[in-house]
Amino acid sequence: MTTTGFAEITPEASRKALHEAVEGLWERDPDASARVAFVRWQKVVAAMLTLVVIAGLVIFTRFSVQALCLACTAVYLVTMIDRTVIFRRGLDGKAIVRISDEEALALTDDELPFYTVLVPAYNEPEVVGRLLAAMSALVYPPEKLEVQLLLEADDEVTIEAARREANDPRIRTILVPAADPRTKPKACNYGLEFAVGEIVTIYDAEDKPEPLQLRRVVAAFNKLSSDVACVQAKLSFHNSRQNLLTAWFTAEYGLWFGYLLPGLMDSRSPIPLGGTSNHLRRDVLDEVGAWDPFNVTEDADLGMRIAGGGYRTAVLDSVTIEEANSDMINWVRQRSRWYKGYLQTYLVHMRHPARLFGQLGLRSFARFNLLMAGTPIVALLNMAFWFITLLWILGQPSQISTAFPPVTYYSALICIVIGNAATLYMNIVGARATGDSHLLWACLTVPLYWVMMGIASTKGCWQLITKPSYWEKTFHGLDAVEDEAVEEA
Amino acid sequence: MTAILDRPARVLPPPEPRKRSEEPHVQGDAWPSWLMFGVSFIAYVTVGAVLAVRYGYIVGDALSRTADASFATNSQDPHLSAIGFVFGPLPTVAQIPVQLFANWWPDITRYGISGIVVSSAFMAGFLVQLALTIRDRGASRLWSFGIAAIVGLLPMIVLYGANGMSEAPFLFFTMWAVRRLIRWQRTDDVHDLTAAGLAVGLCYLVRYEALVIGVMGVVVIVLRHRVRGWKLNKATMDSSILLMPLAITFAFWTGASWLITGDAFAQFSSVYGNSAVLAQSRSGSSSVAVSFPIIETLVLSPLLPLIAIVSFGLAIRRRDIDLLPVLLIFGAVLGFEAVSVIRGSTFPFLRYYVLAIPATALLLAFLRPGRGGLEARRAGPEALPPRTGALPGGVSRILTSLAVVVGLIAPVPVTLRLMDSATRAPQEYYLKAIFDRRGASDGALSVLRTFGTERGFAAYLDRLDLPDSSVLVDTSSGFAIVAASLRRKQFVITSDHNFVRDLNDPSEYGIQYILAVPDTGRGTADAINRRYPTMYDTGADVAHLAFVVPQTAANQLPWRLYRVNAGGGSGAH
Repeated sequence: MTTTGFAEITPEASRKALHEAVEGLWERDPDASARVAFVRWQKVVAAMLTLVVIAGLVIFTRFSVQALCLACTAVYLVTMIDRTVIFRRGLDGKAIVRISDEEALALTDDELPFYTVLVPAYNEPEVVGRLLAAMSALVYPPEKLEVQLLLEADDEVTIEAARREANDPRIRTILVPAADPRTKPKACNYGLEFAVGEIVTIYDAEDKPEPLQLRRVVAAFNKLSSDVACVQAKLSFHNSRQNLLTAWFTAEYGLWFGYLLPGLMDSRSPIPLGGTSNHLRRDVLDEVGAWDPFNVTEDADLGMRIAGGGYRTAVLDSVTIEEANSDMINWVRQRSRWYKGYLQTYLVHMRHPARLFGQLGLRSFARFNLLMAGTPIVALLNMAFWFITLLWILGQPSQISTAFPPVTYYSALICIVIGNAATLYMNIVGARATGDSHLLWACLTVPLYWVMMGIASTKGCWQLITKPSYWEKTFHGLDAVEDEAVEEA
Repeated sequence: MTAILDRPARVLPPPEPRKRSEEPHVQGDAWPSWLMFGVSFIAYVTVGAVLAVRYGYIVGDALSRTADASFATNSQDPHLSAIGFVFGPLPTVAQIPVQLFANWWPDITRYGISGIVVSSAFMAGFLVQLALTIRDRGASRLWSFGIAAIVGLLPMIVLYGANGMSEAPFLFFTMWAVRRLIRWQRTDDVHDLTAAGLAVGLCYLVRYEALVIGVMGVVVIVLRHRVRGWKLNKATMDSSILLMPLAITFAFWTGASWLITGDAFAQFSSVYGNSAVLAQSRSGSSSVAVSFPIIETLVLSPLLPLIAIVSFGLAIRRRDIDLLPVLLIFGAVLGFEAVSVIRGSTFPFLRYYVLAIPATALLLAFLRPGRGGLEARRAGPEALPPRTGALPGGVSRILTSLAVVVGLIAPVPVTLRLMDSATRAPQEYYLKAIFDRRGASDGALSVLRTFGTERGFAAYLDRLDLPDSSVLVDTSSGFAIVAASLRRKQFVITSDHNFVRDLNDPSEYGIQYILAVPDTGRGTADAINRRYPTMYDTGADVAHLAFVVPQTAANQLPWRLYRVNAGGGSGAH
């Protein structure tokens, strides 16, 4: 499957593919699409809940405040316990799929399937060159590897860069017609229409996957049971030492990909896929539907749909190196998009709670709630509870002791002492797994990072209500910080 | 020190995911572990209950902890912080679940049974950890569990498993930490490192000697990394994983102590703490001879120095690193106890040297060379390859078995003989009187009567059928009375929020009786004496003498019951 330069696509094929990329999921199953954030009953329930809380606060102030504090503390406690349980499972080396170099290289060309790598990029002319280097480093027979560079048709600068530098025969540049929504999943869907691979994966333009990754994935699929639909590689950063933010981010990824994700995998929970380096079986993708162009964390959504379809995801011990967000503002945008996307995904899959419960079972259903809704909401609650803690330490106002009767008080105390300590500890263990001992200081100062998460969560939650499909673009290449966010019309 | 360390593996062994069935012994050791735990637990509880209920052998500190646990569950103002801050909290808090049954069976508190249950469980756990430490070297099941069983039968271990003191949890956490550090040296597995850290952290909630263990753990880590090529950053990272739980428990305990009592180190410096008790009980010289700690160690393990030298020599010849944490940690804690007692900052008690026993057992067990690999749940990049080496041959098996007999079993009569002394074994010597009442000294018999007076006094108070919150007592002196009472709510105790209020104006707040001890020695710390120094002698104008309770046991306080004058107001000086 050797292709050179720019793909020739007939207007008819392009129109069809674009329609499928944008409308496909929506037309087949509107309930699976995040095109609408809240369906009617969700709006009704949300409105009623808000009313009940407000009415309660006005009429039975004391009781309502106590009930709210108890509920929040319970959410904390359960999240904390669940995190620790997941972490413990993930500590076990067996939770990660390991394929040795020998195993990976032993596969003959005949045994290797056709492989498609999708690389969506937008307004990133400077990363094209790097992408080419990374892709040429992949050890895979060229005739079986298809790399699609997906560029927006009106993204002149990047197209120009691709025209200038993309002379590797394995890379096929595909121009995605300029149409809304201008999102990464739409570009991927469009590319998928022309993809030939039996296994499909996504890399960001600046990613540096470990050269044997594709082969390891094939070996992993061969080795694992047939219900494995996706193999997720670990992500890490090359610029952990650039500043404190990148160090925090690296430690966080060390924990997430080193322990929490494997723990989730090992307990067969639904896994929100990482943004890149998720290797998907094409047949399953056709069965459960590809990416939702209206979901801003389409990967997390796809992970849930994979779980809902009765499939599972495995975590592979192979690292893709990315660039950590080193700018605080940029980081908050990216994180707020993730939080919003998690909530979007939560709302989409909770449109039929009973059905989801049936598909996932009690434990995975609970975990789905804690992960997709719990993660952003806890990040938000943190802000409020730190404030309360600060007030309590400063003056012990009586309103707070009223709001926290002993049951709540002791639970909250456990959360704040043991919960924070355990999270800090998990971060250090995660950082150790990255092999970069310099991250220690980042781990010890990680509460500051949590403050940033709180800010991002506030922004994300607010945006879910005001601009549900707005895509906060994350900028790669450290100097590009002008606001180029693309908005749905 | 580096000479005895293994060379690091050149090529890291690819951590193959292993199936359960391939695990060499972890699975197979579940049943002997549980068997050993179950049998020794039941045995210790039985011994402890018989000694306490039948023969009245109750150690003050143990009953004090049990009473503290009962204040948190069964008092007129139950709250967790009522457990107090003088002792490390873990042995006390661990008793709370057992204390919940005290309403149905008051002996749980009266005879310190809940403490006995806790110490028995920890001692049984300690034996299992000891066995598994030896087993981790690829030793046979007989050798590992056999040595642990012998240790479990040694008099000092039986006694401290059965008497509710903090030695058992201390032994357990120390052994756990040592085992995990030995493992970590070979596996580089973060599981082992975090488990060791957890053990040290929890150990601080038992005894502050955990700080010494933490420091020595860091030394182990640094030495290990030193041999792998000087990697300061890695050593720092690993050390912080080890020390973080300790830092947290330390901060938590001092913080809680400071918030609630206003004293961050109540364990040491409060009026009830070590320094004060030392000052109150001290007569004459404030320190002991330099030879004292050496003698105490030798009482428990007469051949320890010889065994240590032989083992150390063998370890160097075999380049065996397993010995490193054993020598460093047990050695450092024993050394710390020695320095403390020589400087006069702790008590001359035999039990502080109890670590000599597991140290001896491990050194003897390690005479047989280690072999095979360790099952790591997530071997680190610097894991060592499995050791080659066959089972020890016949001669070596016989010699090492003989060494265990000579080093561990044969000295028992010597130990028992040496323990028959009030200076060498001040908290143990009188036990002989249980088995030989005729030949026992009056002093020993008198110690065995400990807390009999308090139980009788409590029964008397119960018969008075007093209303709730009508008897004022400082539980630092009167814990045994409250612990023995079946009518707990009649007392206002030190941890109650209204204690100080009631103490200042007893008649106003319905206090009918005050329990008083002499204002000398340990009694000077009693809150009632600090408020009314003449209470015991005269009633301090707020109360009049109702009843005198002569003390029948040695080293315990006599009691007087004062009846509060009606409408007397505060007659403070």
